[in-house]
Amino acid sequence: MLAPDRGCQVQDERDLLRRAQDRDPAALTQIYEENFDRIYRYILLKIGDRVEAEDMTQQVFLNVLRSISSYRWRGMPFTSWLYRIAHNLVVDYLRKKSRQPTVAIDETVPAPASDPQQIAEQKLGIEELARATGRLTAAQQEVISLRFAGGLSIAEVAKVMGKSENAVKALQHSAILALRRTLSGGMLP
Amino acid sequence: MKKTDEFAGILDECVGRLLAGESIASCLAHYPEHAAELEPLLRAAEKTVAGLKKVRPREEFRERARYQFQAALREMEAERHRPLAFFPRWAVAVSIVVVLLLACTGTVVASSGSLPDSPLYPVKLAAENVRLALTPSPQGKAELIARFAGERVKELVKLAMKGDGTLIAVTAQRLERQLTAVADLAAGSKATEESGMRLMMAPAATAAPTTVPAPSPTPTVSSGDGAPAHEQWGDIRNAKAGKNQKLKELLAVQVDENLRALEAALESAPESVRPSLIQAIEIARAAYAEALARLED
Repeated sequence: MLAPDRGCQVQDERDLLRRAQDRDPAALTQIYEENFDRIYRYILLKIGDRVEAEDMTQQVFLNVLRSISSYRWRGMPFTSWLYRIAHNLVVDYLRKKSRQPTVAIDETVPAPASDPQQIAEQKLGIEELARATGRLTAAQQEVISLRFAGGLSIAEVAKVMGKSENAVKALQHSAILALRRTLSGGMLP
Repeated sequence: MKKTDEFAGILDECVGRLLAGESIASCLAHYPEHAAELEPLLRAAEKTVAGLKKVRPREEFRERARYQFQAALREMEAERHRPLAFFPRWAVAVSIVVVLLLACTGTVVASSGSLPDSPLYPVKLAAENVRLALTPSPQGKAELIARFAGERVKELVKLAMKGDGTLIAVTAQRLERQLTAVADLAAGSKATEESGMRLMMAPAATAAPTTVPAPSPTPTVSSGDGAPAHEQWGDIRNAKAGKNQKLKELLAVQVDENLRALEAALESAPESVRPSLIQAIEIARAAYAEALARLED
């Protein structure tokens, strides 16, 4: 219901949120079930670590439970708020991670075949996706994570990122161009 | 520039179609004049989307996460119905301290047999925490928490008789957390500080403490007497193995008595609470086993 591609109506979303803010377990469970996989994919694509992504996904929804009463409807889709929570957790995680030496994704993923055709045909794993998106700029990466992994509309992505829809479309365009080069042009090491 | 904007818009529409499950050919059919430029981009987008669609949370993680979310929901529900729910938490905490200072009035004594749905239950938990805070040695703290865990089991038995499934789940989570803290304290692990601090803080905050162990940052609060938490708990690492013997014996006795009591309660419990009670028994069994196993290490 919260996802635009499921034809969600603003009024429905507001009703659902009102019930969730009244601590209606059914409403909160609905929010959880409808967004769990998408939030997980969003986080996983950004950090490329399944175990951490699991912990953080769980934390997102516990944070939702704790703070949903403070959510105020200001015409922004609820998903904006949800992904903002996830985004903040990701930022915290990456900040902490940058302070400690860890094994980089590049070192844990076997190098792909050198034949471009073979590369094109092989199925992409999350590590490769994370690595490919890791080559994008931060803004491009955020657009791809929200749009492709989170399934948000351009309008929602624009709200989450605080940018205009045209700016987001331009970022999406440049991001896909870069992904194309990385995924099919043999730029992966 | 305008042309670029226009193309970015067309690309976005096609991406939207791909995300909705349409094929690349179908997208290109809408914009034959841009097909040559669109196609390679849509192939890259499709590959990315297809890769992401295959990404699903592991089933065991999904189940665990769902269970913990539901447990947190139940706890939230229980907290909502707690007697002091309308008061600010700091006021509740201050009130509890005042009540404790007036222990001679008998309130604390009266609260000792209270259940989680009782107005006196926060006093009971606060009294437990005061005792914990006043116990200097890690070993003593571990034994004390083990006895508190026994108290949780008694509550579970009584709640089963009352037919309150929600509070059974909440109490089982509390029991599990306490047994984890016992093992942490005995092992002197780093987790000791965190689990110990959570135990110390939870009852002061609410009558029904958080059931889900949040992966919170390392606590920086002091425990009340001004000493940093890591200093209070740091000497735990020096606990000698021999000192754990008494704790092991205590837990060994408890695990028998408590599991027997819970299983006996299961036989006479109303049908409506049996699933919650079975879950609670499983939690208790696993938590005791884990605690004993860690003491053996």
